[in-house]
Amino acid sequence: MRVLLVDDETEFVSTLAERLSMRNIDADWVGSGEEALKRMADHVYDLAVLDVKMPHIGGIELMRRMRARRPEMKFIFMTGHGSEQDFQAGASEAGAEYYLAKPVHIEDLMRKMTEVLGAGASRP
Amino acid sequence: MSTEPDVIGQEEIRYFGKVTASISHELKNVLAILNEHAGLLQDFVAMAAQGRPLDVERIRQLSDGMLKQIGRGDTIVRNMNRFAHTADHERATADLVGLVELSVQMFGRTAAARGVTVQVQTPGQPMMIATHPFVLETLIGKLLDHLAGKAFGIGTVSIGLGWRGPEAQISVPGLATCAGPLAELLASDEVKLLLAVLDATIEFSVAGGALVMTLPGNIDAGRANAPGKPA
Repeated sequence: MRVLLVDDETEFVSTLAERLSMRNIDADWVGSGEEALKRMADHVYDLAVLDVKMPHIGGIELMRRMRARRPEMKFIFMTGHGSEQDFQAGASEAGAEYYLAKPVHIEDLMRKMTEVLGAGASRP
Repeated sequence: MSTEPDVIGQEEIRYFGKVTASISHELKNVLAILNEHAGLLQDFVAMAAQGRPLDVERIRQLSDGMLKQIGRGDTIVRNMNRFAHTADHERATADLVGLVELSVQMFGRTAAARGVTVQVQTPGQPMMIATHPFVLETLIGKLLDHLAGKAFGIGTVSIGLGWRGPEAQISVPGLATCAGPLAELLASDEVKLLLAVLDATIEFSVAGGALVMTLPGNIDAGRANAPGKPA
């Protein structure tokens, strides 16, 4: 499993990547949507874990652009919104079915990763 | 049919809601970082229990990072507290520089998420005015939200503050790319009512893209007095 984590809160995302790596998950991280798109030019990822609210390119838009380049890629969103329901209301129409509220529990994230990658076809 | 106080109250509540939503989002990010740092420390402890030596330098980095986030969280909560207290008195003598800076801090994260940086050019000293602090915060917030909320291509919004005689002025140049929508906002009933409550005016040059808001130094005395104006 090769995972790209994207969040402008770089202390958060770098530490999360370190913890995933300690659990034998090949995790890279970047601090912006622009960097994520650049990284995709020479790296292949199975899954991206994206923050929803980021400068310039937000998570939903980033998912659209990444999916256009690699349709089989899977996505999980992380949100600092008050509740998952709040996020769901705004993002489900964009195809963002998988999400976690911050703070993220690493066991929940890993369970979700397994679930997403086992889900077969890419999201609509 | 809504009365004027209803409209003002609705605008204030809407602004309060936006600010608290933004703050809670930012606090969630602080908690998320603390959660990961604490989780990584737990991972290290678990590995140490299995005989792997602790990386003291990494632990120092993590604890420094946690202290930094605690400081960040404290600043957020202090700003929230200051913001909440601007609603304590319907009218009060307040520092315009502080009010504008507070509005900018409240909207900083939202603006940054939209790729907009907001800067305040202060005169280097307080600008004390007697006004309706919360109504003024609401109006400034409404304008900032509008400027940062659309894809106007404004990289930086620069807010200047100063006196013109007894009156205080807030000026924002460089808004040509959003002149049309901004002019529409300024012509809305909500903005007109907020301006009327503040006894303030806004001039906006569509061609030049410059906005200037003028406020009385003392709302109770009209446009003739400025309590904090430097001699």
